[in-house]
This record gives sequence, C-alpha cells and structure tokens, in this order.
Amino acid sequence: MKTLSLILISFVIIISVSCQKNDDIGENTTDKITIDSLVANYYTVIAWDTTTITCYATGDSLIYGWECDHGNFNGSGTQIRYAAGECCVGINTITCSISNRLGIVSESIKIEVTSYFQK
Amino acid sequence: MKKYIILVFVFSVVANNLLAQCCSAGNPFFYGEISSLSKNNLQFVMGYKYSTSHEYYEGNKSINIDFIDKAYFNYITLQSIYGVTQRLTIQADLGYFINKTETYLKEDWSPSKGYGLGDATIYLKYLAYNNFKKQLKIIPSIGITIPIGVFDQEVDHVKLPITVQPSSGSFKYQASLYINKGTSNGRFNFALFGMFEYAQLIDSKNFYYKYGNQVLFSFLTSCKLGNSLSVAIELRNENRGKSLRNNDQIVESSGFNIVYAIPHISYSFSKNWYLAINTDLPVYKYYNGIQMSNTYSVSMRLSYKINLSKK
Repeated sequence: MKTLSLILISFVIIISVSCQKNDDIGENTTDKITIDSLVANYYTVIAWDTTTITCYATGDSLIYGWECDHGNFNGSGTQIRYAAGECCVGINTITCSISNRLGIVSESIKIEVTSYFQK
Repeated sequence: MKKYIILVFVFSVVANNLLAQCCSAGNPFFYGEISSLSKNNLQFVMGYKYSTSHEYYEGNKSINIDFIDKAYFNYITLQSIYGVTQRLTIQADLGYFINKTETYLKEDWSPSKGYGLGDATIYLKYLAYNNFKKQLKIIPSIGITIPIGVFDQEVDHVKLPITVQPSSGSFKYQASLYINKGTSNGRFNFALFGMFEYAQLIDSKNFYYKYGNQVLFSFLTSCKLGNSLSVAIELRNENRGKSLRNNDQIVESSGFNIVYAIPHISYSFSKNWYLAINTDLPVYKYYNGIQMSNTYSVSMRLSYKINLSKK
C-alpha cells in the first residue's frame, strides 16, 4: 500500500512537472501577437507627400495587413508608404492588422493630410 | 411604323453614354440601351470600355502633380433588357473590370491594380408617351445600383485604394427621362436624356463616405446613312456634387462639371445584330479643387435582340 502511494505521488508530481514544462514551452515559442508600436515618420503630410509607417510586433508567423479609410499604400509587410491626395484632406486612419494561426490583432494611427494649397 | 421602330432602336443603341471619370470606384455609367422595348422583346448588349486619365486638373486648367502617372481601366458589361409589357421594360446591367489600374510617378511605387465584379443595376422604364404620327417617345425610368462586387480588394494583404476598387460600395438610385423625336423622312433622330443619381452614404466600420449626387444632360442627333450605317453626335454635360467624408466633412476636391462631345457610329449586321462604337472626348472640364481628369474613353457595344413572341 505504501509502495502504491509512493508510485501514485510520484506519478502526480511527474504529471504536474510535465504540465508546468509544457506551459513553459508554450510561452517560449508563443504564437501570441503583440504589437509593440505603430509609428510614422511624419504624422502630418501635405497632399501627395509620402510618410512611411512601420509596425513593430512580436509573434510567430505574422502576416501584416494594412488598410486606410482614405489614401494610397505602397509596399507590404512590416513597413508601408502612405500618401493621399486632395481628395483625402483631413485626418485619416491607417490600420495595421497582424494575424497568425491564433488570431488577429489591430492597431491604428491617424495621419493628417493637409491641403496642397497650403504648400 | 416598322421603320420608325427600327430607327428608334438603332438610335437608342447608338445613344450610349459612358460617364464616370477615370478612375472612381464602381462601374462607369454605361447605358447602351436607353429606350424601351416592345412586349416580349429581349435584348442583350455586350459592352466594352477603355478609359484613361493622365493629368490632374485644378478647376479648368491642367496642373502638374507628381503622384499618379496614369489611371486607366478595361471594363466589360452585360445588359439584359426585356419588354414586360408594351410600356414597361426591365433592364439589368452587370459590370466587370478586367483591370482598374493606377501607375505612379513616385519612385519605387508599384502600380495599384484592381479587378473583378463591379456593381449591378436594375432599371424600370415606362413608355409614358408614344405618338407614331409625331414620332415622339417619352420614357421616364428609375434604377437602383447594387454594390455586389468587390470593395475591399487587397494585394499582399494591403488594401487597394478606393479608386481602383471594382465596386463603389454604395447603393445608388437613379431617375431619368428620355425623349426621342424622329423626323418624317425617318433619316434623322433627336434625343434628350436627363438623369439624376443619388448615392447612399457608406457607413461601415472603417469607412464613412458619401459620393456626390450626379446630374446629367445629354443631347444627341443621329443620321442614317443607308440601311445599315448610322452616325451620331452627342453633347453631354455631367455634373457631380461634392462628396462627404468622416464627420460630414465636405471633400473639397471632389465633384466636377464636364462637357463631352461624343461621336457615335453604328452598324447593323442584320435585323437583330448591331455593333456600335463611340468615343468620349471632354471639350470642357471643371474639377473642384485638384483631381485626376479623364482624358478620353472608347467603347464598343454588340447588341442582339430577339422577339420571344415569334415561334
């Protein structure tokens, strides 16, 4: 009986440690996405001028998606260039959505486009 | 009477209107058939349009802006028109962009290219007045544009600009009036077309926008040269109001007033088949603020009509 108890306790300990170990592995190779920052080199641009926007994020197998309510993008991945014409004068929202097999995380910044006539 | 009907038909096929500056979102306006059909008549129009823009306008003058080099599209449409009764005609249009492209002057900017299904439009036309003696027809109509196509197209997970999205993303409602007057010798035809279009507000999660309303007037005169060939000249004035964006801010650089001169030529291969070609040449352009302006467009239509009553 004593031997059986020892075996059972040992088994529980092993299982517990194993579970703990698995959790550690999960955190070390996490698929979780964290957007560290979303920054632009200019937050105010004159119509048709370009600003470069960069998204810094951590996570595995990240796919970077970009969209804006007004204006044009060029490029893809972690960094894109953004420009907008007179049609888009005002405060425009640029959204970076990062996804992998676990889900999707989004972050937005505002870029103000001022009129070409103010040049 | 038969001659008159054929003439009206030829004219109405010729009387194509291709609006839409290049490149705004959604279908270019394309009304290959603006007349009504007799009961149980079915007509198909296959249309193609190429449009290009390569200069910016400020007001009525060209201005150098180092951004878009050229904006152009290749577009096809299928129109199906059916005479439900002697007076009532229903028409369905479906548009598809083979490409809708912008190339840029900026260094290292690669072209933006959208493609795919555009909008669908359904019209109801009513032959309100038809006097064979006076050779006069009056046809009011109403229509609705349904944004069935792609409005969030992406390349490499980057959303394309609205200007190259195939669909407008907005419901639009049209009311129009078409008046056709023939001459006693059956050789000439005159037509007036007026249309008002109201665009519904797009209020989605990431996008708030309302296209300006549009008013259009067109005058067209056509002449038959022999039994198969027709030529026409159309003068069209197209006005679009300013758009609204977030917080109902008026988009100052939107809306325009353009006058086009549009030569048409059409040829009938047989009683049921017609081919028509026209080109839209802007002779006066005024754009609010600074906008890309349409340089020219060319279109072609192939029309086939059948009478389902005939066994």
